[in-house]
Amino acid sequence: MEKTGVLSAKEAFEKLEKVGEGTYGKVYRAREKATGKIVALKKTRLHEDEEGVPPTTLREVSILRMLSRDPHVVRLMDVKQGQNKEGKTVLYLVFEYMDTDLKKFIRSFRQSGETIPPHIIKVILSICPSIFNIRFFFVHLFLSIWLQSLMYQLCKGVAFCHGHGILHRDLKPHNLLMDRKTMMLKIADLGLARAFTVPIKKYTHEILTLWYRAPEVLLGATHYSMAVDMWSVGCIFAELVTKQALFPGDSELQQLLHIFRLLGTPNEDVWPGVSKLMNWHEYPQWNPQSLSTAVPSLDELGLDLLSQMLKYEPSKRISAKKAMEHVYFDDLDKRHL
Amino acid sequence: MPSSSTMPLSPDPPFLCADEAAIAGLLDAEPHHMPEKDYLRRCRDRSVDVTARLDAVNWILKVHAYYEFSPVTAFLSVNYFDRFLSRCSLPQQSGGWAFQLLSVACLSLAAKMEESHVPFLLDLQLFEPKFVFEPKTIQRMELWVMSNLKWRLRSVTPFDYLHYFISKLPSSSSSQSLNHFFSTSSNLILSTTRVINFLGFAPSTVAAAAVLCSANGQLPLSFHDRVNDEMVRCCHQLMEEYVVDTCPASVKARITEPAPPSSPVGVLDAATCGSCDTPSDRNFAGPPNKRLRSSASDAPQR
Repeated sequence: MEKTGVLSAKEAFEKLEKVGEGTYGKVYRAREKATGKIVALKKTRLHEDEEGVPPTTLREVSILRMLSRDPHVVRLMDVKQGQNKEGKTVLYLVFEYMDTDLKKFIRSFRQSGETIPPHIIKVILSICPSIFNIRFFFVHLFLSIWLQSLMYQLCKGVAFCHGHGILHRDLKPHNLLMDRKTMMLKIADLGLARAFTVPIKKYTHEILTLWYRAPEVLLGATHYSMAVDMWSVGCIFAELVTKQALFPGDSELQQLLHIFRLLGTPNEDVWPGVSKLMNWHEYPQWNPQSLSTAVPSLDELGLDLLSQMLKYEPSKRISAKKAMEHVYFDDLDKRHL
Repeated sequence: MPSSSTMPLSPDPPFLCADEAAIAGLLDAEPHHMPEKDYLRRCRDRSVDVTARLDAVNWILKVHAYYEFSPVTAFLSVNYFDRFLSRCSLPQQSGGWAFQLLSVACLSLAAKMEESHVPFLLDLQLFEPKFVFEPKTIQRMELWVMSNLKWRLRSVTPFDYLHYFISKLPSSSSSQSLNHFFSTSSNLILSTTRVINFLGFAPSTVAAAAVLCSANGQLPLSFHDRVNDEMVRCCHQLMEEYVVDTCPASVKARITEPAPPSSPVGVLDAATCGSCDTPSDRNFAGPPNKRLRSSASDAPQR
């Protein structure tokens, strides 16, 4: 955070358009009057008759104060206090502006088929120069380099959070911001993030959008760890490949059944302690399928990495740091990331 | 109410011990989460009202025990309180309301940072306080505290180091001894919040001293090459002098006779290190039923 603003948000910024809305307020694209710089303003209403500053705001700001120096975590530039028309206190979090998120990006790919915009080709060539040596290359080769780049950046950002003792707990495409021009990816929306002290505490399990929720959370585990984020990373990986959510459940039960159908119904052999979890019942018995049935266009190395991200037993799930060292990423020129 | 027990161990060993890089990061960050350098001196020469501070800390610890908050929550509350006071002075002639408001705001902030379920602000104000503050007043104080601390609420605390340091002990292999060391060290760390002399030590030093104290003084070769062994010994000695009364039985048993305080300042501090059960506390009317709100109620749903 570079500044401690003296000017109020109204004086310092010109709102250009509303770009989103969250639980606690709106997000605007805005221009900083002094510099002309485009920023994102996240407005948080503070209802004075309620319970003080919302926990999500506290956590997000304090955690970003710690993590914002990483290139793969969205940068919090300032926090400004102001008042709205009714004289109520409003907080504005001033973020660097990113022009899209992974959810929109995947959607745009789904709509345009497999065609790759020229600016992405340019970026891919910069991060994987060896591609020049290939006389005839195919679209899927471009896509795989693009995929590796985004996944590596995601693992790097998650590793940075975990290295500083922070669980994100709500990783999903919508919370991964992107710059279309540079293909830079940044983790955002740390409102549900938590510091974990060891031993890892009992946490509430009503977190994470269902589709990206780890099985231990769905089954009611109250002790959980960085592995919940890595499950989400695995789900995002598969979705980047197929442009479809891997496990699109519409209830906690349906979500579990989606997972069990692909990975097999877990038992004490594959996941010791699973039957003692709070929400464990007798579930239909499915045998594990090969991941390639769900993600057919992913190569062997990618499937190996994905399988390690989607291990049932949390302690066996690959860490973000280890994932960055996986051979799947060997072709990337990591200096640009 | 039973006091807050330590948190159960996670069954996932790979996530128990922080790695060297994480510890190095904590050591880099900890100076940013401590009170200003002259705060201890100001406490000693009484330009900070240490009696009001002790009352505030005792109140925080009692509410923490009542709601069974995690030890980190209590420690963070006191950390915010001291960091704020080291940068700002409160009105002296306030009849105590300013210190009380600061205590409530700091505990509220810490609970929101750490706990899954946070009591309503009115329910947080237990044990017949002289003043009861409205949520909007507490919110204004919260904002003042946060901006004063530059929104650095994710403080580095001694608890961040505990498992790493415990893993360095010769006898910390079994999960039973891990649990023992962790709970004993946690209690010791919480007890240090009452004694101003501990404000002079970094969180890593307090953690190492607490682990040493709970391990009957069996010193590992080194806790970490960036943790000063001399400072750890000094802090450990202070713990044995001042925190004996609040140590768990296992620690009390082996310290037969506390060493006398080494200085007049020490005498004053030892005097302020009593139990928080003052006579007036014993007659308080029962607090309201615990009503908790989930701090995760704002979790997004698909």
